[in-house]
Amino acid sequence: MRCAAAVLCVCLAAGACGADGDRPGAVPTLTWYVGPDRVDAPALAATCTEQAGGAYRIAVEQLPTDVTTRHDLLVRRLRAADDTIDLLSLDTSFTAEFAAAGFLAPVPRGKVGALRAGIAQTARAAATYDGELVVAPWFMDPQVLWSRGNLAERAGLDTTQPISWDDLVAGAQRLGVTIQVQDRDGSGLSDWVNALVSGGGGSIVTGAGRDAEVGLAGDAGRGAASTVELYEESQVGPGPSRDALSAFAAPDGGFLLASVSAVADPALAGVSGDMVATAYPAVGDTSVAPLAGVGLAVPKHAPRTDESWAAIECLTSPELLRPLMAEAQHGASRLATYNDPAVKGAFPQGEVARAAVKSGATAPATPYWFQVVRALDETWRPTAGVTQDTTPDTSQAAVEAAIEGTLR
Amino acid sequence: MRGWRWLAPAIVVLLAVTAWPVGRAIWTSLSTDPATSPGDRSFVGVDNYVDVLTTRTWWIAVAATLAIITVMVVLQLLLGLAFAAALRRMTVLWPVARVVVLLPFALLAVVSAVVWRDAVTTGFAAAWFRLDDLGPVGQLVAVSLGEVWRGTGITAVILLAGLLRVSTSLMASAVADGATAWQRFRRVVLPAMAPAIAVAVVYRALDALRMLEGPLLVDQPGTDVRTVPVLVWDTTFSRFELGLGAAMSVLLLVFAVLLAAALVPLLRVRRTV
Repeated sequence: MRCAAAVLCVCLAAGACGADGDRPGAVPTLTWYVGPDRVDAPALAATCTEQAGGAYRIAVEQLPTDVTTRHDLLVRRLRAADDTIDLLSLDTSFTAEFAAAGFLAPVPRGKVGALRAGIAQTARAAATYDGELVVAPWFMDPQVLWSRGNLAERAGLDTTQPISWDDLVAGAQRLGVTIQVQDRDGSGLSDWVNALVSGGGGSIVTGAGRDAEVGLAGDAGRGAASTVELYEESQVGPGPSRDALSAFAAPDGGFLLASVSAVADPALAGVSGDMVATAYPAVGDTSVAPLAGVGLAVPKHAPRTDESWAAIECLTSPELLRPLMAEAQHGASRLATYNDPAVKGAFPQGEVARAAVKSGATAPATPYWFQVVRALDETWRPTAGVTQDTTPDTSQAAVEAAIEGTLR
Repeated sequence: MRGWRWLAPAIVVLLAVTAWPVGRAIWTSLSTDPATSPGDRSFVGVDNYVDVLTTRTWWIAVAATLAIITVMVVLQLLLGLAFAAALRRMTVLWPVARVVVLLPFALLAVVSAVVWRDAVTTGFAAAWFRLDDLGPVGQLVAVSLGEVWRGTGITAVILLAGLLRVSTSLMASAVADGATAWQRFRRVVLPAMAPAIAVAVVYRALDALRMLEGPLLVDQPGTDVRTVPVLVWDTTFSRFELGLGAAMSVLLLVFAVLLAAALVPLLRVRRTV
């Protein structure tokens, strides 16, 4: 009995002491939750910890790879007022939802100008909700068309201007190679459909509330379905796939639709030296690439917001954006980074990426985007079943139900 | 009055852990309440119920759930009865056998579901029966069979308790009177076992009704056939539509009450001798 009481006292004492960072004089630890990007987060954290000179220390925690699991986990934890997350690498597609839910701490007024300066317009829009900057733009990875060696030329494609889907598919068939579509974390299909609809001059969702307008049953939606149908009928690939990179590296791999940072993926180590980036295939005359990225946010219930924002200032500084591009091959949201001499040589796809960042399509800024993604997954998968006659209408109904919050 | 004083703590605890959450669920079900968009929260009365009850998805889920309950309960009863009859005749191995028969029930439902799903997708069942991509419905059948495997032992033990109530002298008299096997089963065994059968059926049916792990594990986007608990889970914890999810959970509760209300009188002990 005495022994149990002693153990209980020790436990209570330990609990009362709390973490190291809570001790007077101790260096506070900021826990940074990062997604499945290619950033060497521990190295960046170590650099900022060193630069902070004892003001804080950054510890890195990994979020799940799958986008649904990541989203659901964050929603549950942030809704439960979890105060153990100090810094968050937030997918740009989550920004509107998390801001509308009140999950994010406001960006300090004094820092808004610096965080916005020189940022690509698409990245700035993706970091803004209801007219307010809600996260710090960090990087924006556009998708591009990767090919191997001079394959595009051999397929008769003119890479100096956007290649149409018709020409791309015909070229791949002519050479007997595949067109792989990357789906790294489960958002590949919705990114693809969103870019196709935007490329056709439409928008999947316009508006932020329950009464948002859905634009899948129109010409742009039918055009998107027709492109997917063409891709499937020509049997040049399996559609959005998590194995796209390794399939591209296989002997019959020819073209790959993937983010600019895909070239740094270990699955492509054998062919990365031979990879060439060109603009994303065009639906009409212009190329509209799927755009997804990451912003840095501070959760509302984070206990040390001053230190968290100081850490974000460090992580978004030009010195740390350089390795983000040169090593991880992510496209920094701050466009000046593209001109950095140290980046230019190490980021050969820079010009293609910069153009794509300017003209690409991010996820529409609606708090219901994740419900829309689920509805798209339910109605456009398997892609072999997509037809321009039925899919746009069924998908329109599903997306409307998802936004209205009704059962379909 | 003295009795009430003793009962009061139990009633308070019961109200706290049952009435409060149920009342909260009913209140939530009267609103549209997207967890991540509080600006769109509003009172909608019974609209959520109307939405659910007029949707094909809901009734497909109800039909699938009822079918799963029926098949699972019938299979567990038949297998459990066979096991119980065998166990009753055991002598030397009886102490070991009664533990072994309960072992599957000691496994977590999710573990059993993973094993049975893998068996038909990549494991022995797929190899033996040359199964090629069963799809979500086939996998749902597999995890339901896994739940049958898991619950048969406990059903057998409950039925064994009923079987032990059968009077040996009554059975000997029936044999002496020339009763056939079917007559002995119907007139002697069944009346004695009826309470145990009632407990087993209600218990296993309500357990099957709330089965979530297996169906959730094999659920895929775009699946046409879902069970009611999976639909409630999906709406509440993946779509984060709290009002709609609460309405469904209230309907699931009503469903459970109706199921119990139908089964209890149906299985009431009737004297047939």
